[in-house]
Amino acid sequence: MKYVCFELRKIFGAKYVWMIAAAMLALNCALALYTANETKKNEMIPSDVAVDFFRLCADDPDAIRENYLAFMKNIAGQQAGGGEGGETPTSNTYSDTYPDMLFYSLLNSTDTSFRTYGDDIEDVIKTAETNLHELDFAGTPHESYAYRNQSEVVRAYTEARKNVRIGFEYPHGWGEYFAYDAVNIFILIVTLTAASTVFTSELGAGILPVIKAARRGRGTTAAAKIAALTAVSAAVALIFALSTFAIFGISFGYSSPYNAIQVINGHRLDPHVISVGEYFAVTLLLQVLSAVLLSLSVLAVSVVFGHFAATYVFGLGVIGVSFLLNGIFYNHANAAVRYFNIISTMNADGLFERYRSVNVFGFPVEYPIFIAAVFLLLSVLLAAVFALVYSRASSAERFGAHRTLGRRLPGKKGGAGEGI
Amino acid sequence: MPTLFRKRIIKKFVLFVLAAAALLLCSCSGDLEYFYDYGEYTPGDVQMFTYEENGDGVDGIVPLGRINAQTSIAVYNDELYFIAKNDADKSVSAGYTLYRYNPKTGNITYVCADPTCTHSTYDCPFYGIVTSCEFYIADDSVYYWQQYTYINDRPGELEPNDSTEISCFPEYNMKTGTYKNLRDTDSSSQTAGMVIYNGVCYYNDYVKDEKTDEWHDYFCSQDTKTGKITEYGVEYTPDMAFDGKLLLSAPDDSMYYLDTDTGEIHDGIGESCLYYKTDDGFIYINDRELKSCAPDGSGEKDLGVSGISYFYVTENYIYYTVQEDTVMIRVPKSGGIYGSSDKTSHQLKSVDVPTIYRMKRDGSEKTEIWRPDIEENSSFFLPEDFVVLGRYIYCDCTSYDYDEEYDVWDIVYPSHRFIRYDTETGEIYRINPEGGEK
Ligand SMILES: [Zn+2]
Repeated sequence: MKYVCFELRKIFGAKYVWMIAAAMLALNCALALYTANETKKNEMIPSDVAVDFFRLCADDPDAIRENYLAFMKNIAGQQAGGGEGGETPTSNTYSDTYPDMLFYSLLNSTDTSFRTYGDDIEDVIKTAETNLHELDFAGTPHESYAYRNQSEVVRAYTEARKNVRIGFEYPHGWGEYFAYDAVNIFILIVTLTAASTVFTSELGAGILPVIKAARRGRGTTAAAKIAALTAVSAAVALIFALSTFAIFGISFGYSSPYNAIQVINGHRLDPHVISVGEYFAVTLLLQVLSAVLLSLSVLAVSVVFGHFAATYVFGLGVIGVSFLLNGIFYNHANAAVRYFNIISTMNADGLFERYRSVNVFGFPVEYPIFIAAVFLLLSVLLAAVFALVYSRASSAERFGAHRTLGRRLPGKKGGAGEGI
Repeated sequence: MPTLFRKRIIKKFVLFVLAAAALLLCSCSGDLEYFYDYGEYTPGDVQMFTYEENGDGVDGIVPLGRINAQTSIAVYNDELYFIAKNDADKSVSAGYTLYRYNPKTGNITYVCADPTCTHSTYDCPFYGIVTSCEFYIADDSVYYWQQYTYINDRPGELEPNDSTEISCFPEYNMKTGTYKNLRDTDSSSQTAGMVIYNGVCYYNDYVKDEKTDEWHDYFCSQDTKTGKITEYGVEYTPDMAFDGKLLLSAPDDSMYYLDTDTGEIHDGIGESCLYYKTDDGFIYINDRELKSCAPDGSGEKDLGVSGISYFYVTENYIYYTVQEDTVMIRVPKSGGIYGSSDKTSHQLKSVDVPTIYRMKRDGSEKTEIWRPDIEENSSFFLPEDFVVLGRYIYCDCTSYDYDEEYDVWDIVYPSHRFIRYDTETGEIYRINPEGGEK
């Protein structure tokens, strides 16, 4: 623990980490606010007004139904009587600013989409059942991936159809929060910066030679570095995610976290029987896992290649490539390229859109599970590589690396790039 | 002390964030009162479907690429493939997708293997499939044209609604479910009548000749593995390929062939026409008359029928269409499609009635197979181009629906106008993805 604290102090001791972290946090908050405001402009009815209306509907559905019928009758009457040039009927029962028409259409579309959920899932099950039938006819072995995958779809969606409980309400806040994915770039940049300090500040630290003296000391130091960095990456991910969560909450408010995830935009065919709140926890976990993976890979690469500037560029490269892959023009079904990268994993929505699986030795494994497992394994592997190489490396080599580092790091990213 | 100051700030900030998040979570209304109920799911009824063998098939028969291009149904591994309205998407703006029909089970499946796909989003491999051009199936892969406007409307995108025109020729492997774009195209190069042979795609493309600055409809090939494109600098059209030879027809109707191993073009025999290759030679149409010859072009034999408008060759038979009758029917004066027209006034329209016959491949046993019944005051179907598998004819049809009230026929082109005609009983079975009879 003492060593971990020492490493933590080193990370927090670097001024530029604070500067970058603060700048990124401010930028993220500003961008989140901006995005929230832009989204708000497209709302038919502001979410708080809509929420009140939906509560009214839940409290007294009969009254709303009566109002609605009267409203439709009124429209029919006006259309029949008014003919050409007749004004569109406006009545403002629920709000002074927004006409009833908007409320009814919002209610209708929400209610219809909730009501037809069962039928839509049934279609998926039937399609998979027909596919199974055809695979059987063609003599496809039941142990093949193709067969297992279709069976898995039948199983997962039959389960979902039976157990997903969609509650009547106006879903808001969550969809907007989940859709805002720029936060992940900021998390990764700050994580990368924090990871970079693990070596830089050692030069100025007085205790270093003492720890370095014994071999066991180096092993312990390695473990401490890993622990400290993991904790910092996780904290960075959580702070950024939760501050974003707060901003969207202030802008939209959040609907029930207990409702099924299927009420959120883009999750209708999500095969998982989880609530919105549980999904939120899953996204946090994936963000933490991804941040930890990035910092550990930076750690491992820096100790293997020694050259620090190269390591920083590597980190930026990982972020950049992930970003490009995530934003890749997605016109086809090659999910692997699109989802199997850090940023897409952090965005999570795409992974949970519907049942998608990877062929692992003939067994279908769902993307979220597969990716989480691979990330976890990779993290452990990278940590091990780091610990091994670090405890073996001679101090001279490392000092060599530090010197180049000390010269280059204060410069901007471009400066680091020039060094290669 | 700056560090201490920083520590305090971070502590306060973290506490604030956690408190705010917790507060928000608590303030979420958790009281859901009304829940939706979807009832029990019961697997659907098995539809009534019968299938009888007659020992006929299409093994060893190679149709000319251009005949394939004429027919909207492709046969591959004893299954039928066709493009029709996408039923998985219930919206009015639903597009088209590729289906597979198993004649033995009567099941229709989407060729896109993902059962959760609605085939109406960009990530479906068949999104925007071009319906007017043929698709091709070889070595478990489908080759087709795709064209659509890609609009970047993902939520949270800072610059939404960027649009890009997509036009390409991809390959979809039905065994592995993988999609690969072979080449970007434009609509002018979406030509029908390609040949896919031994992993190489042979096609025509409009290419600008750098020297003369003129556009030519050049014969090209593309390796589907490497993507490498070869231009041959000649305006020949690929016909069909077998035994390492790709037959080509020139604009002046002379024939050539490409040695697919060496890539050299040699002079061929005969004249360009519509033909099938069978185990014992060719069967072809010349001046709307059916003829056959040996593999080397010798021994031309007249099969004794004329006035042919379409033909299809199986292992045992040649099926052919002759337009023998013409009937006059009353159709609504305006439109007449989808029943949207004004039926109070009508006009007479002459309709060619195709009759389908068949004979043995040596020209014997000519038999009438399907002569559509056109009775006064009742609806009828007219077959179009068809394929034959076993004892059934599968074809696109146009239906003429008789409207008793106005005494007129409406011409209806339903989105699934694909039917099965039993050559032995004359029974018509309508094939649509919803399953079963109309
Ligand atoms: Zn699809």
